Amino acid sequence: MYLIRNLPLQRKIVAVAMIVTAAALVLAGVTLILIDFNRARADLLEETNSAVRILAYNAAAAAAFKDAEDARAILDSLANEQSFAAACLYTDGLLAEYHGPEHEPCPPFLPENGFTNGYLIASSSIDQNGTQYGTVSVRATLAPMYAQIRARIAMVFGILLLAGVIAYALSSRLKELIAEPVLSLAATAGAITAKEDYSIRAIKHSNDEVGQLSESFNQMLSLIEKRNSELKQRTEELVLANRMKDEFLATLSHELRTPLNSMLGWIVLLREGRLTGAQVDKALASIDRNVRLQASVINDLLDVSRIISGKFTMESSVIELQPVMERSMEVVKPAAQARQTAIHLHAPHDAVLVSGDSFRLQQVFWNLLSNAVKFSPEKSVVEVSIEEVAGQAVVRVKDKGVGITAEFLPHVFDRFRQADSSSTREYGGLGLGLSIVRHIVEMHGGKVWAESDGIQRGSTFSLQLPLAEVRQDSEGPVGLRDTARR
Amino acid sequence: MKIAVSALLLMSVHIFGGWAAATQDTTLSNKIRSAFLLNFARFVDWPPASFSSGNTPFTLCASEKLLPGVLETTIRGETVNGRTIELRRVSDVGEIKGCHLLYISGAHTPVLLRSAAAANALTVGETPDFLKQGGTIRFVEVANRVRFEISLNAADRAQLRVSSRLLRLADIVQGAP
Repeated sequence: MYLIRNLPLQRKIVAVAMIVTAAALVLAGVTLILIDFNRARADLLEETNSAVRILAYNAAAAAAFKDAEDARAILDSLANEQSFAAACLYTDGLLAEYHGPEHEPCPPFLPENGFTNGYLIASSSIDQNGTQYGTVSVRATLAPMYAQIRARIAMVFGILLLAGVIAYALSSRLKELIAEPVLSLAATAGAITAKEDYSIRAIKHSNDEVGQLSESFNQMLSLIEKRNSELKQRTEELVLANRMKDEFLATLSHELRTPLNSMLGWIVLLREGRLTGAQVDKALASIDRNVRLQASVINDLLDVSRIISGKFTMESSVIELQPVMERSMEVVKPAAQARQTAIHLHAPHDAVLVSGDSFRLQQVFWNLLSNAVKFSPEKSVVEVSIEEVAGQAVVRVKDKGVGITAEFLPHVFDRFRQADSSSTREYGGLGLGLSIVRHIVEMHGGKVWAESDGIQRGSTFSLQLPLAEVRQDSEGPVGLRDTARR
Repeated sequence: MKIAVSALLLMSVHIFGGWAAATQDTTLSNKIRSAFLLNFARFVDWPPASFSSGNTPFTLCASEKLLPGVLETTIRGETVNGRTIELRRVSDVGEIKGCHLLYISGAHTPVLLRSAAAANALTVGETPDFLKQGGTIRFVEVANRVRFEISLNAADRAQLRVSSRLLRLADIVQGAP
């Protein structure tokens, strides 16, 4: 049993089939041989008994008259029977005998009945009219019976051998039914372990337990594969996020530090009190600009922090887009003038109304405009348009600046992402503005996207906001410009 | 079994003595004849009418001068088909009524034989023309051995059935079917 337990599955199946076949056949064979043996014994006993009874009857007169010749003639009638070795007639001593050429003669006295030394001895007394004249004893040889049993054993062994061959052939074919699916499954599992490739799938060969096992195995594999890829993606994201955070920290420090240097410089000069009036104005303007810059950086940080913690709120009212845009342009104007960049606004005469927070939308427009100015070469033009397209307000800010690579295009609105992350950045900023833009636009139920034909070919930032539904009897739009008009 | 065999052996020795011995010895010869007579009775069937009842003895008749003393000794205690044996010495035709076996010799033989057939008696004799005269079994001595001849015709006339096994042993069988 131990030997079989460690055999490969295919051999195990064959071995089991062979063992079962052999056991069944040996049992059947032994039973048949035993039955045969017993029947042959019983047959021989009966045959011998009836022979001895016939002899006793036939030889009665010979025994009575002690006619040895006649008795001998009667006993000789057994000569034709191979199984009878000898026949002995005893009256007062051995009267007559017959024995086969290769068999021993009769003993001088009546032998005992029974199976002894390869012979069966049976006897019958010779009775006539109530008088016993003697006894006939017949000795039958068991050799033919043993020969028959041997032949039967040989036959059983022959059948056993043949059945073994057939069982081997059949089980060799049939083993595949059982072993193949299991082996295939094992091979699949082995390949997966070796290659760590969870995209491999087990083939389902049947609908039995092994088939179900294959199915479960495959489901498990799918799960592992899915988890694996999720994990991988998540890890990549985390690594990227971590790196971006590091970069962001560097950028932030730089952005916070730079204005301070400028301001500290001016403050030192102001304290010395040797600046001219014009120089004092310039110093104060510079300090003012840098303070505002820093404030805007910090505002952006606060906004992002609010967005992350879900505390970013906005008011909702019907507002007109043109005045919001104009206010934003006012804010960017000094920077634009500094770069000698013109901002052209194309807007319809009729008010384009959306529902939302005018301050937040102004923040959005300011962001887009200041980006456009920042990334535009000097003495260029930034085109701004506001239109109504298919029930949506569409705002576009188009520059002729550095443009955006196709690879970076999908990430321009991601938090902490900037196309150029080198320490010698040409353009300042934290990379938070566009992520705040996207959040605000999405809070308004709109969407924002960027287009660019590539590096140095400019870029276009577009946003789309649902138009406000204004009832006829409403008091009209609420906007800073409108309020101012009234 | 051994005891039975031994007993049989002793009895046989006692009754028959040496078997193949020469027959010059009259005593031995007579013993053999007596034993043969008893054996004849056992291998021949009589018609049922021969016995008036189940325990009617078997009547063995013999001329007075034949096997004197020996025959009496031989049949003592023996039975024929379960019947006791009654020995009757006869000298006259009138005495043979009821005889089942009749052992005769001498001058009256032809007369006796005629009556015996009618009485269903098995006749045994020794004269050379015993069978021709109508006897059933005749003793002969061949090469110093006692043998016998049988006439089936005579047996038929007396309505006796002789066992084929007895016939096998006879030297001559007359009127064989």
